[in-house]
Amino acid sequence: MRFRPVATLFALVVLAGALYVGAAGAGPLPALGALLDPVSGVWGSLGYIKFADSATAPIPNLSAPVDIRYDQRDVPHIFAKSEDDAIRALGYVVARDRLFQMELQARAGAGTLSELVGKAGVVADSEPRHLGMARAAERKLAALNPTSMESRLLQAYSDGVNAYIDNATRAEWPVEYKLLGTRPARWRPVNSLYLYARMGFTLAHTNGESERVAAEALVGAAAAGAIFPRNSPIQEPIQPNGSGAPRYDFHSIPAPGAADSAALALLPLLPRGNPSRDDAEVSRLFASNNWAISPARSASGHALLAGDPHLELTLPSIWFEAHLVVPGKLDVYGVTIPGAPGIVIGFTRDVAWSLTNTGADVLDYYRETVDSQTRPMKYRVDGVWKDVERRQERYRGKRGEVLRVDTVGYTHRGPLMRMGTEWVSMRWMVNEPAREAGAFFNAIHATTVQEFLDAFARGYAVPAQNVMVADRRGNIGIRSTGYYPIRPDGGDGLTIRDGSLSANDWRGFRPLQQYPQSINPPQGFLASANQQPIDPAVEPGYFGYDSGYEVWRALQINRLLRANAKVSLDDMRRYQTDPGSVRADAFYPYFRRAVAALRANGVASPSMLSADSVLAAWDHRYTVTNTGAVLFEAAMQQLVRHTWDELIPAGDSVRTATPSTAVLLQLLGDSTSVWWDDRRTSAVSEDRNAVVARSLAAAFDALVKRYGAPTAGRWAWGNTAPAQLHHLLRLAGFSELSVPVQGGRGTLNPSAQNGGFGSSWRMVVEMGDRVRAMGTYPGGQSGNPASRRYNDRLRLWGEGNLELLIAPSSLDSIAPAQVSASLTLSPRKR
Amino acid sequence: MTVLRTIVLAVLLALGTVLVAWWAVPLVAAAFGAISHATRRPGLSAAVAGLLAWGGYLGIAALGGAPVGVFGARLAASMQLPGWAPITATILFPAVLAGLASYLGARVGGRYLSPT
Repeated sequence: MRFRPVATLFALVVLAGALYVGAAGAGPLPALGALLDPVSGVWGSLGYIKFADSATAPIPNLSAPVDIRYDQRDVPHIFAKSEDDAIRALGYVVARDRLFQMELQARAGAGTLSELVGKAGVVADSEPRHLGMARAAERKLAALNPTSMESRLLQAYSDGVNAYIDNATRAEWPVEYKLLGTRPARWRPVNSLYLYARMGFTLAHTNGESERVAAEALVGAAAAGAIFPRNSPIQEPIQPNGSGAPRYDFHSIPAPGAADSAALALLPLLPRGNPSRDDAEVSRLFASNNWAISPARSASGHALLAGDPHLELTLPSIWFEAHLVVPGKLDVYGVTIPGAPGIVIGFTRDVAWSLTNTGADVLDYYRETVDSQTRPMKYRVDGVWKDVERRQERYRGKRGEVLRVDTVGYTHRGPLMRMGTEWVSMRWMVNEPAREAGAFFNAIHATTVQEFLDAFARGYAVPAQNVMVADRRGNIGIRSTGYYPIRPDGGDGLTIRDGSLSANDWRGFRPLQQYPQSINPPQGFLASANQQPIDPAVEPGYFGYDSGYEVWRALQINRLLRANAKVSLDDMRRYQTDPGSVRADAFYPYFRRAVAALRANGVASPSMLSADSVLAAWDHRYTVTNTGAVLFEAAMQQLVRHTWDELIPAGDSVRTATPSTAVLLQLLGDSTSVWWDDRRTSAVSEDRNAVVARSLAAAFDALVKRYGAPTAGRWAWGNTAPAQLHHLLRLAGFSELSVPVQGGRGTLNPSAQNGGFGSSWRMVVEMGDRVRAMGTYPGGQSGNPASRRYNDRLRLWGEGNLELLIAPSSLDSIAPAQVSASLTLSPRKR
Repeated sequence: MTVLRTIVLAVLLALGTVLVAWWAVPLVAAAFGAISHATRRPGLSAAVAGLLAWGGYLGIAALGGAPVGVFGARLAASMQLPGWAPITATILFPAVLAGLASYLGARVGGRYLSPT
């Protein structure tokens, strides 16, 4: 062979470059060798699209072998000899399907995403650290007695997850690790507590102070108090008040007053409204439904329970279905959150339960007096200077390198943060001592509604949950469970308090008997959907505030249940996606009347008349092909925008706060209120009809511009407001961004134009001698995007259908035809 | 003979990938080039073998029912690439590594292993 120096050199350089890119990547390119390796790279996911028919795996500390059978819906049924072993096995099987999700969610609570995704994660990481979530989780773990049940649960779960990590080959690692160029980190017991902290952030990081102060700054205290009231103007409480119908506590809203100078000074401290979220109701979509029917009102004569928590829709889903059996001790079926050592929502042979968020206000701010405006080391309470505890936060990258360092100060109340020119500390229930893992585990051993509610309440603190339970004896019950702070002087949580006085601190927590609750009410059913938990006429104490609640779904559930004296399990299933809306029924007439009034005066525009003809044909339902729903929702957004112009600060274009739609309905009752006048049009003085009709016309014009004429066929609710399930890393290829669904704002299956929130798990259960249950969630059991099981339930979920849930009580009772795969976990000494 | 040699090399490259890792491809190809330096175009044979090795792995997976095309398209969308890019990159990358390594191996082999 002839030696060709140039060609050889060229080949050498190109090969060196290819090897470098293969080993280390270049620019945005990840390390291509490991990534494209058909065995252990991204294609490795293809080798694990289904489980082997039969497999065995060792787990350290297991006391006896555990048999696991996956059914045809890929739900693992775990048969263990001890409860600790069952939890170890749960950790193993969840990791087997959802390892990346577990780590991502725990890191989101710990503020260590940057260790997984690099520098891009630092900004997101700073929030949980500055809110004290990571510190609180670590302190909760440290406070646990190592021999306590909670400690054992967390450790057992951790053993199971780590056993899977140890057993898995690189090929089995979730594809996301390969795309990110990282590897699974070992699971620590504290990770489960980070996850709980994250759930606390999602469901209990409320900010009523901000809304109220922002409104006071612009329209004065009296008007602000009226448009951001403590109590919902529409009362259909969770604890039935005996009235048998909703109550509308509507009264005239005082005119906008002069700006409040004290609040005005605070305005710059508050987060500015986000122009991209000019959608007042988005924040209320983290919501849920549950209801229960007593035997007297059920078609079968047994107690019935339905539950569907509404959360961010993601792929893989937030939930994972599992069944745990320990003969004589435990037999529980339901859904767990990957990373949580137990079943969160589900049923046993004796009880079924589901949760909705209470929306309790468990966060308060205190304006602190500090020794230094730049770097406070001390703060003053009752005239005495106290040390600020300082905790250094190090943000690390994928290889452990330090990307950023900052320090968070703490007062005795919680994290200290700079707001504008002031230092404010925050007391938040999420950062207080609690035993959530133990609460769930205690409760699943209950055999009656009362036992379940009492067991759950022992140690469960936050986020407060409306715990709905039905039992085999025919009892139904609900309790809004969580720690509710007692503020000084019976005050609420809607003001920023003076931190220099210890008298302003929380005085403890409400006793259990003061929790909103009801067991076997005379009406024969119970329903919760994030509405105000207790009628203030019954209990005037403060639990939360109106704009943190949502009443429309509660009104709809109650309407459906009151109209049906014999509810069947299938009725419950249908109700979960019922397209009707009390909200639509309430607002619709105002649009029609406004156009009629303007038409009578000869001032209705062509757009108003065209829009009115679309609304005239609307059946008030949010079905997939519905045209009217598209216009109505757009008009509602415009109405909010046109009505609350008083809440836009001078020189700005974004509202600082938005009252609830219940308050908007209240205002609609007053046709000449000065709130209707748009201050931006100084030459005219608008009344209600002008604003309502103008909102409708603006919505119509915007829709025509976007979708063409209503007859063009593109105004279909399912197309304009589809569910959007983003992958956890928002990777488009692993997401499902256009799933038509029936339901909209205020319906039992809430879906908004952004589509990112919705029913994350639907379950209906009949508590007869043999439990009959159906359920599904959007997605599938697997976290592997190459697997059919990644999203195989999506179509069923979109259609509002459920699957029968099988819960065999023993290995022998599973028919071979029901088994898709089996796994045996065997003890292995460390 | 060339075809047979290419197939044997493809099998060796596939085995190297399965048993060791992706970087076994250039090592095995370089050794192949050094040994077969006297043959015609060892680099080209190795490139084809690299392509066959990894492409064959995907092909066998597809024959076994794995959704190679669908998953490839999902991967591509996730990386904001055209749908064909992941599969193409997966078969070209080992081809480039094997071809160049084999070519260089043949240069070295020709220099040091040739009978004088």
